[in-house]
Parts: sequence; structure tokens; C-alpha cells
Amino acid sequence: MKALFVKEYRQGHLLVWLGFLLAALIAVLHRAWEHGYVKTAADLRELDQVCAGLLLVAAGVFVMGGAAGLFATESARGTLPFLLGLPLSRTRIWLAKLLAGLALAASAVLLTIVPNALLIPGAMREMGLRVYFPDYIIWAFLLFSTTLFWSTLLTRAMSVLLASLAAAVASLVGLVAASQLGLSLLGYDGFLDIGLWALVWAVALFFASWLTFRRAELLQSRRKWPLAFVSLIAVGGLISCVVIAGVRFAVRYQRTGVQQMEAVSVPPGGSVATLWAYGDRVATGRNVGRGWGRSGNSAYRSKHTIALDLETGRELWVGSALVQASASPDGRYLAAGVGRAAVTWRASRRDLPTSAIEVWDLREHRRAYRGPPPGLTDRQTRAIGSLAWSPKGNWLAVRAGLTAGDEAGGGIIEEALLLMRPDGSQPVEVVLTKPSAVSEANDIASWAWAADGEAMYTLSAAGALGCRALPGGSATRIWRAPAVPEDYRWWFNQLAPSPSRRWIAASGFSVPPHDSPSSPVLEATWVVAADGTGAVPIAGARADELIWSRDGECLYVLWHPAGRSAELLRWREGDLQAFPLGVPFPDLSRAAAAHMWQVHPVGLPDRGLLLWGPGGVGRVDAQGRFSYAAAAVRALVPEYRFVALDRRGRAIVTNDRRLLAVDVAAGSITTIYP
Amino acid sequence: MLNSINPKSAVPIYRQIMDQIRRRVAAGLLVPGERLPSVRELAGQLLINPNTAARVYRDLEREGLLETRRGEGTYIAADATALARSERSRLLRERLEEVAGEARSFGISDEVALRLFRDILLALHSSRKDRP
Amino acid sequence: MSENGFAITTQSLTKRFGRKVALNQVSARVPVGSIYGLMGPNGAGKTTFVRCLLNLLNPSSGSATVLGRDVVRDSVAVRQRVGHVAALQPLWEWMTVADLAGFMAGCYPRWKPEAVFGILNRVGIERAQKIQDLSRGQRTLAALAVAIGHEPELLLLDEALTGLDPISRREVLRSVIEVMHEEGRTVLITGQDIADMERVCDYVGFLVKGRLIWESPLEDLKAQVKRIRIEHPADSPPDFPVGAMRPERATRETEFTVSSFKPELLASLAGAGRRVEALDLSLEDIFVDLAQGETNRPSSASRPTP
Repeated sequence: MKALFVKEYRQGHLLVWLGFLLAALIAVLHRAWEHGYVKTAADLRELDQVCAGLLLVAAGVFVMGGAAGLFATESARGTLPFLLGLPLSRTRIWLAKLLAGLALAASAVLLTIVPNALLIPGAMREMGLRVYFPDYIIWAFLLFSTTLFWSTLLTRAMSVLLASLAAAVASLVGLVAASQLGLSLLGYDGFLDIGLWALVWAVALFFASWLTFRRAELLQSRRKWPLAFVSLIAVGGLISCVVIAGVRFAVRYQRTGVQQMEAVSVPPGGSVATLWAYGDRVATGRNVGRGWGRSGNSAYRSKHTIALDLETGRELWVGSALVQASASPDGRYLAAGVGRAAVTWRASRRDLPTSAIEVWDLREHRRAYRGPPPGLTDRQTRAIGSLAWSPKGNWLAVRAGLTAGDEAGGGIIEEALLLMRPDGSQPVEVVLTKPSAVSEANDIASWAWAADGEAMYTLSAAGALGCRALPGGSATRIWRAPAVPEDYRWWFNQLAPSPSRRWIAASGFSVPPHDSPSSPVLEATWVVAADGTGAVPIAGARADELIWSRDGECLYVLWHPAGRSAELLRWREGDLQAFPLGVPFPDLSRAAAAHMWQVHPVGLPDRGLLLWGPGGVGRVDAQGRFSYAAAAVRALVPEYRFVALDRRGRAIVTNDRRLLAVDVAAGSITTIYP
Repeated sequence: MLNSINPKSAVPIYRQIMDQIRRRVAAGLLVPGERLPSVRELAGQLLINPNTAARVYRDLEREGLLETRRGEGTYIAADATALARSERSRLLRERLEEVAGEARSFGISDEVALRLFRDILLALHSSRKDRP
Repeated sequence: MSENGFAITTQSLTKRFGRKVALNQVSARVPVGSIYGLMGPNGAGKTTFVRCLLNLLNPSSGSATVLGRDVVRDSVAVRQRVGHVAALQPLWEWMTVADLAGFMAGCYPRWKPEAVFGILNRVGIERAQKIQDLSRGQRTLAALAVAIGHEPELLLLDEALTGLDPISRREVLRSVIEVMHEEGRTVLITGQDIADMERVCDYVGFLVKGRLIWESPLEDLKAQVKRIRIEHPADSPPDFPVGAMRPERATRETEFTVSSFKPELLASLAGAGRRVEALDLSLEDIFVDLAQGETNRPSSASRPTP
């Protein structure tokens, strides 16, 4: 067998020389181009990218070339009967040829890449070998095995190459299509990385090629075609089933295995928390080269989205990692954008933009809705942005990008705010759109749900506050921000309707159209009467936070007066009080906040305020007096960060490994999860 | 090659070779004690089956014309010439039988046939006389 | 090692290609130590037969045994002891003769370079010559040289002499005969080189349209297949017996070939005013007559057997 290996290698050694030649050619071209045309670093980077692309294409061609002639030329030249007359079993012959082909491909690729690694390091960086090396190996195997398969069936090396190219393109398309199919068939509940499929089918192609060579006599009968394809599909299908079953079996959620959490989110006053739970195979991110910046934690195999009942600590829903999962405030529904973030077996994730929504009913544990926003099609929906539940959980607001019209070339993308029922029982209401070509005067700059979820408030860029009743109501104007020069535009960073429905607090600023630095910027904070009778300006600057008390009669405003440290204002009808947070808090200026106190003002059930930051935990009561929380609670900072207040008024805090519920008034701490 | 064969002839190849060897011995072209080519050499020279060559030697040895000395080769036997000569008549008789059959089939009478034979013999004598 | 003294035995070996039957119930026996000539017209199935022996093709039914081993189950062991030269076999053109010899040496457990280079030197082929530069005859000789390097007990020459010039043909035959001097070596020659086969073969088989219609020692073939010639009066022509081949008739002469000649046959055909004789046929004539007889034979008639 070794003699055959040597013979095959010698027969194909031209390929290796070609690799060397090509490497030299690319290096020379790079140098020449660099001398002549490269002026800036960006140009150099572009040249490197082009060279990297050329090298990759060349490597691909060599991989195919190594395999193309292995069997085809024997059939074409008629030397197959001679070869088969040797005292070697067909399997050994096949194996010797396979190894020789791999050796040829590897030699050629190495000869192409290695000199260029020394001569054009920039191109090597652009190829991202360290990051993508496993990918390259897998795809090289798939390419090689495809070419080997066709070499067994066809008789001319050129037709083998063409067939393999066609097959490679088709299989890439097919893999993507299968990925989509798996997505729609299995949900995102565990479909597999494309790389794994590539490996599976590479193995199947090898097997089919071996079987055909072993069984199909002199490779001349027509019988070899059904034999090759049937065995390919049978073996590929079998291995795929085994792999799918294995992965589904292996990837399981275990609460005790959770070691880290991410994206913990609780709707204010809600009873359900959503989080990503990572299993016990967390690995630190790969140390990637410059410019690729994807360091950080990445999980192997065990990343799940959990919806947690904060009262009992029980998991209400467990599934593969969703994007933008958000629970309704009443704890009944869980909504998420459907992404392509599949269960992966390698450390990288590929998130593609979402274009569908899933809503789960947590009480009945069934899926209430799945698909594009109701009334729209997949084609019209380009991307799903953020999701926001109405306070009573009867509406779900979806920020989405839409394709206007049905043009195949992809029409204008509009940004729209869509309102849908959780079960998708009505077509969406499109509240606002932001067509790119139209002037921005009627843009919605900010919006917020009314407290009962039956209406929403919108603020336009021209400063008009409107109230729109749902469903299907039209907007009524309540108030208009003070006039500004006509081409100025309002930005509202805070919009907070009061729970009592009597007031709406708004904070914003206006900017000139091209943001010229010399023009003044008008900013302020107002409390607007919901019945349209007017607004009360309560601060001459925008607010960082606007928080209403539970009964909606008391508003806390955290803001930074010009040149002074942060201040807390409390407004009641007819009363405005300021609490400079300097005493007893250390300096709260923006620069110091990172080190000392970082205030998270949070409304408590009574009219008080909870402050939680790296410096400690404390309460400001309705009379404005500050008191520290119990020592045990204070000990949680700075490790634990604040998430939200739940329905019972407990502070939900997390250190990304555990989830705690803290009753600040009583000083009690309960571990909720894991 | 000093033996020639006609593969197409009705006479089997081994018989042809055997006859040729006998003829050469009888004519004194091969003398007792002379070494013959080995089976292998004979087969290679004549391009015949070695089995055939072996059979020739085997049969001739059985007749007493040849003797094989182990490890040395095949030689003409001591009394080969006498044996070969006694074969001459047999050989001639065989040929004459063929000729007689032909004469009969042509419809030539016995007297005419005999007269033809005598003329040929006389012609041979005179041509031999002319030769030095 | 062989089975009952036969180097090759096949039992009802059949090979079909789709609907075409290339070998039809062939039961052949090639004795050890013989040079067996398998003759037949073009497309008779000779190459198919040889390929089945080497397990290049799988039999549709029946079996074959070479040197005591089943050709399908023990195909590698069979090929280790069998040498194979095919007609105008394409070789790897880029190799030199030395490369080819070295390659073959690596494939067999036993290798005797003296035998290989003995042939090459005798015919004047140099080791450094590339195969693509060799003439047709030289290629066959080179293929033969490397085919015997592993001292095969059985040598298969599949139309190896076809298309060669007379000198190369003789060299091939000479080399084959040289090989044969060892005890127990067997050669199977297929082809249509009747003249050469007549010289060297001691066994013959006739393959026509996939059927083995004759198998016997060459002597027996020549003894049994003869042409009967009858000279008779014009008004009483004798009938052609059943199974007579190549019947020819002139006004007072009738001839036909029979395949199971016995001297009694002459007596049975004799009659008033008749002259009967048996003529010997050359192997070529026998070949033609038997082949034609098989072609013209209605399928229900019995076929001539030795």
C-alpha cells in the first residue's frame, strides 16, 4: 500500500509545485501593488483582504485538485484494470489514494500559505486563521470529500472539478436551507451548527465513495450511480439522525448545573424574571487577534433562557437562548424575538437579525403565537428590535423594521412601532413609522404605555404629546413643548406616565438640525396634565430618571443642575422639594459616580425611594429623610447589582451567579435562583 | 535453429522433432556422446511448449536414442546410430505409403509410378556424381 | 497448491452485463503445468473470463477457483500468486520502467528483480526509459517482465500478442517459455493468435458467444476435428450428417468437418463409387469451423463436446 501511496503522490506532484508558484505570485503581486497603489492603512488593509481572499480561493482549489484526479484519471487512462489486478484489496487501494490526495492537498495548501505567512503577514491576519481554523478545516474536508465522491463517478478530472464546484455551492445553499428548515420544524429549540452538518456529510461522502469503488467493479457500469447516491443519502441521513439525537440528549437543562446568568430582567412590579442561564461548561472566550474583538465569556452547549417565578423560584419556561426575551408584568406571557442563535457545539455564536416573534403562555405552558407580526408577512418584516409589554400585559409593543411594498429589490425600510395582542388574535396596529425619505417633523421621539395599558402616549420630534387610545384609536394632542426654531428637533429621553393617569412626566432637549456647537440647546423637564390643561416645568435641565410613586401622586426626579452635583427632586401637586444628594452621600458628580455612589433610584410601595449603588443601600422616606438599610443588606453591595422591584416590593438583585430577593424594609434576603 | 517445426502439419510437433533428431543421428550429423540442448533451451529455441520438449526427450530416451546424465544434460546414446539407422527404413516406408496413396488417387498405374521413382533415383545418382 | 491438479477450475461461471450474457455457464479446467490457449472470436467473452478470475468483475452466478482459492472470497491471495498481462494495457505514462518495477515490487511480498531485468535486458529495454517512449511491443514486454517478478504460479496473458510485430511476439513467447521451466507453473493465453498458440499450447478451449464449446488437449482436438472428403458420382451425393460443419458441395465432391472423428466414420460413409478420406485441419481451420458451427447452430441442438 505504501508503494501505491508514493505512486499517487508522485503522479500528482505537479499540484504541489503549482501551490508554490501561486504563493510566489501572490506575494509578488502584493508587493508590487503595495509599492504602486497603497497610500493609507485602509488601503493596505484592503489589499491584505484581497490577498487573503485569493489565498483562500487558491487553497480551496488545491484541496479539490488533490482529490480530483485520484479515481477519474485511472478510469480515463484505462489503468484501472491494471491497478485492480494487484494483490491489494479495493479498500486498501481506496485508502492509499485517499491519503495521497490528502497529502497532496495539504502540501499544496501549506506551500501556498506558509511562505505568505512570512511575506504578507497582513493577509494572514485578514484570513483570521486563529479564529476560523476549525471552520477552514471542516470546509476543506467537505470540499475534498465532495471532489473524491465525484472522482469516483466521473472520468475526466476537469468534469470532476466542475461537478465538485457545483456541488460545493449547492451544498452551501442546501446547508443554509436545511438550517432554516430545522428552524421552522424544530424551532430554535436546538438546531445544529452548520459546521457539524458539514462534517457529517463529509463522512457520508467518503463512505459513499469507498462503497462505490469497492462494489462497482470497473467503475464503468451505470449501476455505480444509484449505488453512490443511495449510499450517500442513507449514510448521511443515518449519521445526521444519530447526531441530532445525541445533541438533543446531551444538551439538557439542569438547574444545579447553572453557574452563571446573563441578561437578568424583571419588569418593574412584575412577578416573573427572565434570564440566560449558563451551564457548567463556561469557557473564556478565545484569545482572538487584533481587530476581531470577540473576547469574553462564551458558553459551550448549555445556554438556556429561563422564565422564573419570583414568588416560588420555579422555572416557568426553559428553552434555548432567546434574544430579547421579556416577561409581561402580570407574569402571564413570555415574548421573544426568534433569532437564529442555535444550540452550538462550538464556542462561537452567529446571531442573525430576528424577523419573527414568539409568545408563550406561561400559565398554560403552551405557545400562544409564533411568526411575523400578525397581519404582516415574513418578507415585509426585516428585523425585530425591542419588545415592550403594556403594564397589564394585554398589549405587546414591537419595534420592527419593515419593507415598504413588495418590491423584490427590497424597498424602503421603515421603522415601525407595532402593537399586537399576545395571542396574535388581531392584526397589528402600526402606531408610528419612520420613513427614511420623509421629513422628521412628525417622528415619534418617545413613547410610553399608559398605566392601564389601554392607551399610549407619544411624543413627536416637534414636541407634541399625544394620547392614543387602544385599540384603533386616534391620537389626541395633549400638550406641546415650548416653541423652538422651526428646524430644531426635540429629543425626549424620559417619558413617564403616572400610575394615576393624571399626569405625564417628560424630559427632553432640542437640538439644531446639524448640531452646530455654537447654537444653544433648550432642555427641560415638565409634568404635563393628562387632561390637556397644561404642563408644569419642574427643572431647567433634562432628568436622568423620572420615577412615580405607586399611587401616582408623587414624582422623583434625578437630575444634574448645571455645574452642580446630582440632585433629587420630589414633586407633588403644588409642591417641589429638592434633596441635594451630597449629604449624607459623597459627591455624586458624574465623574465620581463610577467609584462611589451610583444611584439607582427605585420607587417603593409607599412614597419613598430606594437607593442602591456601589456605596451602599438606603431609603429616602416620604418626608425626605435618608436612612441606611440593614448591615446584611448593605453587605451585598457592590457584588450584587440592582435589577428591579418585584410585585411585592422586594428588590431583585443579582451578582450574575445568583438571584436574590431583598426586602429592604425588613432587612431579609431570600435566594431565588438557582 | 537446427530443428524446424511446422505447427500446422498434421504430424504432432513432438513427432516432428523426434523424427528430425533421428534423421540427424542416422545421417551422422549427431554422434553418440554429443550433448543436446536442454529441455529449456530446446523449448526456447523452437518456441514450443517445454512439456513438448520434455516429452521428446523422454520418448527418445525410452527408445534408447538418448540418455540423460543427472546434473549434466542429455546426450546421444552410444548405440544411437545403429538404432537410428534401423529407423530409416521405417521412415522411408511411411513416406512411400503416402506417395503410393497419392499415385492411386491420381489414377496412375503401378508401372508408371515405379518408372517415375526409378527415374528420380537415377537423376539423383547422376547429380551426385557431378558433385565433387 | 492446486485443486486436483488444476490451476483454474470454474463451475458454471456466468456473467451478465444488463441483458447481455458475456459468459454462459462456463465450466473450464486448466491443468497445472500446462499452457492453455483460450480461443474465440471477438466478443466471445475471453477478457471477461480473465477478469472474473482476477475478481475485477463479480460473477453473476457460478464460481471459480484459482490455485485452490475461491476468486471472490480470497481474491487478494489469488492475485498474489497470479501474473496478468492484458492486451495493450495502458500503464502510467509518466513512469520509467524502473519506476514501474519498483512500484510492483512494493505491492508483492516476494519479488525477484533478476527475473524482471533478465527479460528487459534481453530485449534491450533500459530502466530509465519512460513508458510513453516505448513501442507497443516494448510495452507488452515490459508489462510481462513486471508481471512475473513475483514468481507467479499462474500467468494470464489476455490477448497479449494481439497487434504486436512478429519480433516482439517471439520475444514474448520466448519469455513466457522461459518462465515455464519451473515446475508447476501454468499459463493461460487468450487471443486469436492461432499460429502461436498452435506452437506452444498443449491444452485448448474454445469460447464462442460466452459458451465454452470445446476443451481438450490440443492433440485430441486435432485428432477429433477433421474434414471428411468424399468423392462420389454426381447423382448420389451423400447426406450431411447432423452436426457437420462448413458443408461444401461440388458436383462430384462433398466435404464437411466433423468434431468427433473416429475411423469407423470413414467406413460408414463408404459406398459404391465413393472415395472417402479424412483430412487434417490446422488449428486455424478448426477454429473457424467450430466458431461458425456454433454461430449457425440452432439453440436446441446439442453442441459438440470432446
